Amino acid sequence: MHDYLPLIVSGIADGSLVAIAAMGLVLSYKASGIFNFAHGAIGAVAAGVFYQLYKLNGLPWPLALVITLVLVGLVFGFVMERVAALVANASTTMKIVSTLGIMITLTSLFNLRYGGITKQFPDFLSQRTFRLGGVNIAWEQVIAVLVGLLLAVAMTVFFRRTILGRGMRAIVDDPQLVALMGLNPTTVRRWAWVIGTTFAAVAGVFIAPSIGLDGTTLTLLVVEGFGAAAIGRFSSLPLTYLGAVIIQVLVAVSSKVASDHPSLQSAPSSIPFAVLFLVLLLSPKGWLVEVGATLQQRVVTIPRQNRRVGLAKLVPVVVLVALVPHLFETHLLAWTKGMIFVLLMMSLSLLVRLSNQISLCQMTFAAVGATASYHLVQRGLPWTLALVCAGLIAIPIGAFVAIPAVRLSGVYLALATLSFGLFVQTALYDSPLMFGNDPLPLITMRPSFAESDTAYFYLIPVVGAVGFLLVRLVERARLGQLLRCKADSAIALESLGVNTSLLPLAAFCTAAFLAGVAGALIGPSVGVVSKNDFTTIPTSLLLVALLVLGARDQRIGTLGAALGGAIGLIVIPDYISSYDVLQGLNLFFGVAAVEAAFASTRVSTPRARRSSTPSGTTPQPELVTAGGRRG
Amino acid sequence: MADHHAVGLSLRGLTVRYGGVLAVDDVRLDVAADSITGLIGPNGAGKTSLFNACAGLVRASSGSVELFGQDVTRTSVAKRARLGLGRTFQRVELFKTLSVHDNIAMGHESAYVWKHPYSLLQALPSERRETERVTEQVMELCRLTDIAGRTAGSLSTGQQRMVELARVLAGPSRLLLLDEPSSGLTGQERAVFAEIVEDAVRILGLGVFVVEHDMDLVARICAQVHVLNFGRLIFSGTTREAMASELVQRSYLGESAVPEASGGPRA
Repeated sequence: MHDYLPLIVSGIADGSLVAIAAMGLVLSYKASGIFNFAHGAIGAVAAGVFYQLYKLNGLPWPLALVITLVLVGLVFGFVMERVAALVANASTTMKIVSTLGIMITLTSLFNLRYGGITKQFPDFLSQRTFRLGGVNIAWEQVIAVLVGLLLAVAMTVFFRRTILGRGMRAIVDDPQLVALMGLNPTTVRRWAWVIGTTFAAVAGVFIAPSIGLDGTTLTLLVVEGFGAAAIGRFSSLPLTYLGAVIIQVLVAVSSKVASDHPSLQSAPSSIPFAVLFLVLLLSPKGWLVEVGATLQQRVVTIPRQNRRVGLAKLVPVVVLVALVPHLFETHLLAWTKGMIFVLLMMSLSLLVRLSNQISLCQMTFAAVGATASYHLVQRGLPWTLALVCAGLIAIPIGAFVAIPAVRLSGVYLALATLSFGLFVQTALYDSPLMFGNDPLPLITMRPSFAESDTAYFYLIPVVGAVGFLLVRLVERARLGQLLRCKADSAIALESLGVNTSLLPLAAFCTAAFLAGVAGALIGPSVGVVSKNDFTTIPTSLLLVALLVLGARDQRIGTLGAALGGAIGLIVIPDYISSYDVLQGLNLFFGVAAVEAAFASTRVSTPRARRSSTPSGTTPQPELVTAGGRRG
Repeated sequence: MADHHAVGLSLRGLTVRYGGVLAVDDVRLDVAADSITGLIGPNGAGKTSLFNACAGLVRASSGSVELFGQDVTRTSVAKRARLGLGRTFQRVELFKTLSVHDNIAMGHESAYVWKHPYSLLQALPSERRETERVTEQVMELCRLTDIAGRTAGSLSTGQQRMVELARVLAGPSRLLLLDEPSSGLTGQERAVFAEIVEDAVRILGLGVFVVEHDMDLVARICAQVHVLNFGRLIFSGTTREAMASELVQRSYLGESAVPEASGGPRA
């Protein structure tokens, strides 16, 4: 037991810091109805600003800290309030994409300034320790816990006692009422965002010394706070705090256990994601209520595929694909990989565009397919058979992810898929069944009938065409129509006698199959495959952002959107050798994704006119966006 | 069902509680399977709660719901629908991105889903023919043929309500729950709506249970009415009797109100 005490202490200290971030997230989510996926990135940016002021400009740390918090809190508070107002009427998918876009933007800005290499972050707090009950405790840890507790208590009192705090609790339900309290709804939201982002900044600055100035790790650490927020039902601050502390203590203690068992090495870091997924999976019906969900409407319409065209439109695509090996010989491998990503994008499109379900773990399905086919080929299975098996093996994984999809939608489904992806990435990628513990990539083989680069390239469109037909089949089948109906109004479909709960299962299984096949194709394109090809952050997130970007014009069909997205994600970066330009490209994707989310509310179908709404019906969306300036 | 007074829906001691709030209190009533029955009452009387309990959207705290003689108190929304209970919503619930035609077709097609292993993929030719036939028929009945190709989300409220009615008419429902079908409709649209509901009942032999605030409409189409107040059933009888009843007048129409010539009590 005594061995574990120091770990428990450090777990509590870490937990307090993560709790600060999580509480900030809950706060802004409660007041705006927008779940901020960029929350962690804002924390990372704050760490960067502090680093600049303290380390590079030599300001004393208290001054640097204050400037950082005020600057980051105010700037991002105002920015996020504007973003939230602009997407208030957008579909849940677009709301998610808007903050994902900000996350991508901020991460690339961070990388542009501080490079991809982790820099040592100065320990600005006292490193001195004292002994208590036989345990060495650092003052740094005491400060972390004190700050966390102080903020938790302060916020709880603020919510209960002050007018502004009460206004924040009420605003999502009825902005008009808040206005009647004499508060400007926009101001209330803005302050909620300012406080929320300041909390992210506090967490970012305080966490950074222990892990260094690394954008991705900092972002991920705050994502760990999502699990704590889930324990607090995305609503209760004290429970969120408690959740964060429990999770981090678990992580700290299990890292001690894992250090004795090499096979468990990656287990501790996956705990926060496992907790998030389990809470979402096991939460009883009605336990998690999506904030502001009653006001959401599905503004994005899926373009009706014109049944008469189709083939004629495919001709230029086929010609382009046929010419690629001749036109782009030096970058053929990237084009091959790009073509594979078209298939991956199409699988995602089934979920995002057809059934309005978001999946942030598409690369996880692909990783399952990639490793499954590798191991099967190693065991002597014919290549083609292994390819099909890779897809089939991904299906039960898709079905598993679909379990939360049966009950959850919108932002909670996004979180469930994100946490699943991160869990598999941290806990299972290293297992011998997947990529294994060896840092070296797996050597993959091409089929005997397509050994050369050109032959293998041509193989992809053939497989892709089969996948495309499958997607087309689902889109046009009764299943496709039912998924559209469910996305529009699940309750109406139920009331017509259709059991809708199994529909997402069908969609996820099909998507997982396609993604699994695509994953199996990735390795042989360059000859090696490693876990770095299948990251959840950023690749799975970029997939969603780029798919939405590709489909920004609503006339663009599934194939067009997938093609555009894949070229942007895979092919163009291959032509760029400069790190900065590459980050600039990501920056562009991030900004463009945010813009696409804004645009989605403009190209909506004309809103249904509701004349003389009887009393007792829900408020009209126009009233809800009183803060926004769009009618 | 040949029986003239066949009962479509019967509630026995139905009670709905939300936490401590008693929304529907020990209601016992019958809804005829072959005519139009009204449910009226002031705002907050529990009408929509009662409807939701009938449709299965909220669970009855106690009491039972019988549909065509079968106890459905614990049955899911979808199962009740398959047993012949159709409904429209107070706030229109359409498949907004689909065309009017496709909305109505789905009303019919929904019955085929999960029928055979192949059912999620394709409609059988016979199913497709039948869907097309019924859809055309219903669109004609509801005077929607002209706007068949329009996207449902782009229609006016009046048209949307009509599409919602048409969608449920295209299905296998034998008893319809209509929740405030005339709200948001112009006077003219109400008249047309009433006409169509009456036609549908006559032609298709349906029972209709309707929550409505427009007393003119109720007086015109309903054979029977039930009156709710504070969750309790305070009156059941013919529409004429209800209009004459002093109790109903007091609780619902206000102390001095007399049924007016136009508009409802809230007009």
